Amino acid sequence: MDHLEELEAEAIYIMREVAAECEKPVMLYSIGKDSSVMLHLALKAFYPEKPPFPFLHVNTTWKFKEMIAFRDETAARLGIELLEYINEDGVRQGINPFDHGSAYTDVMKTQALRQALDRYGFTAAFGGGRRDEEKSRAKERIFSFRNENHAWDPKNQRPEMWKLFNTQIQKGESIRVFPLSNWTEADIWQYIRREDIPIVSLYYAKPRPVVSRNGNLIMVDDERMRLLPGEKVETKMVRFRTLGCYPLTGGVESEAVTLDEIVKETLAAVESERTSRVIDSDGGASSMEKRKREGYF
Amino acid sequence: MAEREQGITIDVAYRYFKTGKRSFIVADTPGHEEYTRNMAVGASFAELAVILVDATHGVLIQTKRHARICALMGIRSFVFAVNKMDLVHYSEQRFAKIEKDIRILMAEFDAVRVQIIPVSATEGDNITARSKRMQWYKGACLLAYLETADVIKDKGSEGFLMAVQRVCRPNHAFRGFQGQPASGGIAVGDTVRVYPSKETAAVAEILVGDKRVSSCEAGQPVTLCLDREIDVSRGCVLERESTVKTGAMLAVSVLWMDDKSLAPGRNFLMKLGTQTVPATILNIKYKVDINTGAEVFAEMIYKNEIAFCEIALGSKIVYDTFENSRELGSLILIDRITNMTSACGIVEHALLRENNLTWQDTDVTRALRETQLGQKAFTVWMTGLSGAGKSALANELEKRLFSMGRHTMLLDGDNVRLGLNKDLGFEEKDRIENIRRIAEVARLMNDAGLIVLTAFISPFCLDRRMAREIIGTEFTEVYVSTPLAECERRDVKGLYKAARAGKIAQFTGVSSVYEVPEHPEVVIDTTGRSVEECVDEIMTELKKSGLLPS
Amino acid sequence: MRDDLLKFITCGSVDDGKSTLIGHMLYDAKLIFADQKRALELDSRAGRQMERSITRCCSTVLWRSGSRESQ
Repeated sequence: MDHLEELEAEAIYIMREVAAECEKPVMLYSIGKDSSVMLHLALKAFYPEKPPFPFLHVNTTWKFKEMIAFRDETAARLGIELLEYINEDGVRQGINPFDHGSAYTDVMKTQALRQALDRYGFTAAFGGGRRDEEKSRAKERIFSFRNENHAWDPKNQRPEMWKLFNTQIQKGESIRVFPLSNWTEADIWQYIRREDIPIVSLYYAKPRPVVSRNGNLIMVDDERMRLLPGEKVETKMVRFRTLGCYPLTGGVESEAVTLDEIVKETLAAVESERTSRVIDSDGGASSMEKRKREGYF
Repeated sequence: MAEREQGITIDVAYRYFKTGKRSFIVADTPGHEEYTRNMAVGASFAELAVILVDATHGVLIQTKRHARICALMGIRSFVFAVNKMDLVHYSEQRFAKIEKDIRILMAEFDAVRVQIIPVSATEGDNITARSKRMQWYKGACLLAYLETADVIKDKGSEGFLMAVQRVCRPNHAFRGFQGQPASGGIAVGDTVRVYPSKETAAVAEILVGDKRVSSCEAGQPVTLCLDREIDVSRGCVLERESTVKTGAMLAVSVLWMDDKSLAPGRNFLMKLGTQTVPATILNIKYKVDINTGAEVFAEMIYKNEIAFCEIALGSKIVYDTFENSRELGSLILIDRITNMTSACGIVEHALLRENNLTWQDTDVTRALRETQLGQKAFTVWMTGLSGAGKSALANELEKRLFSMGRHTMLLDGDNVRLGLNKDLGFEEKDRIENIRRIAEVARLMNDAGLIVLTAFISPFCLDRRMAREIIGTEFTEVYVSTPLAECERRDVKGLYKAARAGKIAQFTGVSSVYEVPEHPEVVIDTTGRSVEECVDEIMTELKKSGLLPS
Repeated sequence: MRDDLLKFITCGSVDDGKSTLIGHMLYDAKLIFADQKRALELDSRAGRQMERSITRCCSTVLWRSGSRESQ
């Protein structure tokens, strides 16, 4: 077995354990490349059965249009059960990424995720987190335990021995499960190429309307985008290495229009992918740790 | 140090890198003794260990500890990086001395491959390129060695072995068993045996992921279909020419990881392969000095200690020794209250005691005895504070049943302590043993066809759960919930007064907790109610559940 | 059997130079991402040691011994 096959086998083993032992699992689906890989693995893991759990997209209402179109097309093509959750309270209050900064992330992502998990009573949620994403994740476990308030208590995490995952929880508690923990960004891309996994078109370079802000290229995806004084919209050949809410996601100038070119570019990259996510630049690893305690993935 | 360490999480940092030849995952763990469990987590994940030795110090006690933990967790391939060679002037003699000490140390373990490399991490000697300053060393540099190292896994049989994770049943036409073979390969047409039933069938179809294939190998994510309908569920093991066995009593080495210490008699959930069963630590044979390997007498086991124990399981499982199978010979123990992973362990061997004992089915069965007595046998377990009214209720209930012509037996706290259990004290392990014996006696009496009533404070959930597991489904838990104030007001035996005066240590309700049952069949507060009234309520429940005819 | 993926553990105390050793392998494999390297730099004394030794090995500057006591 080559290393991708080993990583694949490990992820499938984890998914099957959760499906067999946890009461009500769900797979978080964020539409990005990691989610695409997770979904692909879930289809393989349970074949010829459909994945025995639904998929959940927590929609902040500020995702790229291309993402939502891809999401709906994917769900229809595969016949999977896709749930969408929007924090309607936040929408009513007009919470947005321009005026509310970190409160926006808290309300539309963190709170929304908690609300969704509570509403459906999910006891285990698969997420696409990887340990190589940043330093604070290097020590993250594959099974991460949350109390009844979805808070992460560093003292209440469990040692993971061999392949013996302990999935026992009390009522009200829940587990986040990261089957891609041991994958690197390069592994993700190589696997996408090898398995020919469909991904959102935003990963491919294309002339796109962007503004340059703090060294990031932000795409003007719809009329809600606010420009700062002096900013002007330019068309540049841009692609995205990670996907999120469009006003918070920086693109990179690139000529990569095929999967091979993307993979080549990625392997040569020296900047880790998260530096292109604006949200992480303030506070770095410690702010991520804080958000994790609060229930952010 | 113990205080300071309280609450330190068990962290292992995982790092990832690739070279042109191989992908690597490094589990990086701290080396001090109080981080033994961290190292065990990393070692259980790893196929090879790189152990650092300081050339200026040579083989130290910590080197021995590191090797021992890695070997215990199943690592068979070792690399010793003798570091800081620059500080010993790249001396060949110095290295030769350390190399000899390492060879002596490793003779103790089951290591299959030991590579010893002189390096200097700060100067970059023999890390990613051969050092010009140690021409006398003819082997590969560290990275080159890691790029080409063969990894030795189980040295057990190469037979096919797969624990079933789940049954895949999308429709009536398809029934596949999903898992990841631990060893061996299998091809369509091969015969496999299903454990524990030992039925056999031929493999009709194999899927690896979503692809139909004619054969599969260890490690792949497979789905197997058999040519005939036999009973297979999660926890079963499919095998061919392997060495698996079944049993309910095992000798295991455990590494204790919980802040709470381990006393014999404690009950856990044990996960082995894809099976999860109740498990009781029968005894601690000895603990192993983690530095020297010496066997030391121990009554309790504390965090980061290794002990050799005997374990009894709630039901038979399919297992192998760790030596034969890393997957079916490794286990974790889960605390039944906190759900923490309290320990990890490896199966050393079966307990011979168990091999000599087999449950003898008698011709006159429990059902026949019940028919002869004209009743259904069951146990009513009363629990509650001292003075809550357990004995009075049990006594009245027995009279009621007796007058109906039922055959009964009442086991009362003090009576049992005066006879069967007079060798037991009140410390944790004796308390557990007290309840275990009572439950076993109740079960024997149930098997004799008798209705058993018990009246013990039995304040701990775990103990009551153990009793329920021993006695089986014909078990009715009655929580006599009379509040503490009322019990203390009654103080029939004057015990509360004595306890308040400090004359009785560990008195339930006063100086020791009472854990309220979570799902009792009946809850009765006797405050201001007659015994008859309360017994009526229990009788109603027993009729409702079909244990007594209505 | 040689697998394409090797999982290994490193055992040693802080004083043994473990972080320096791992740092070298990661660095030389050229796949230590820039921000991870920065995080490592800030991580610990050992991290600083690693960074320094990498600078030492990867630049052509030859260091004279002298700062060993800081290890």
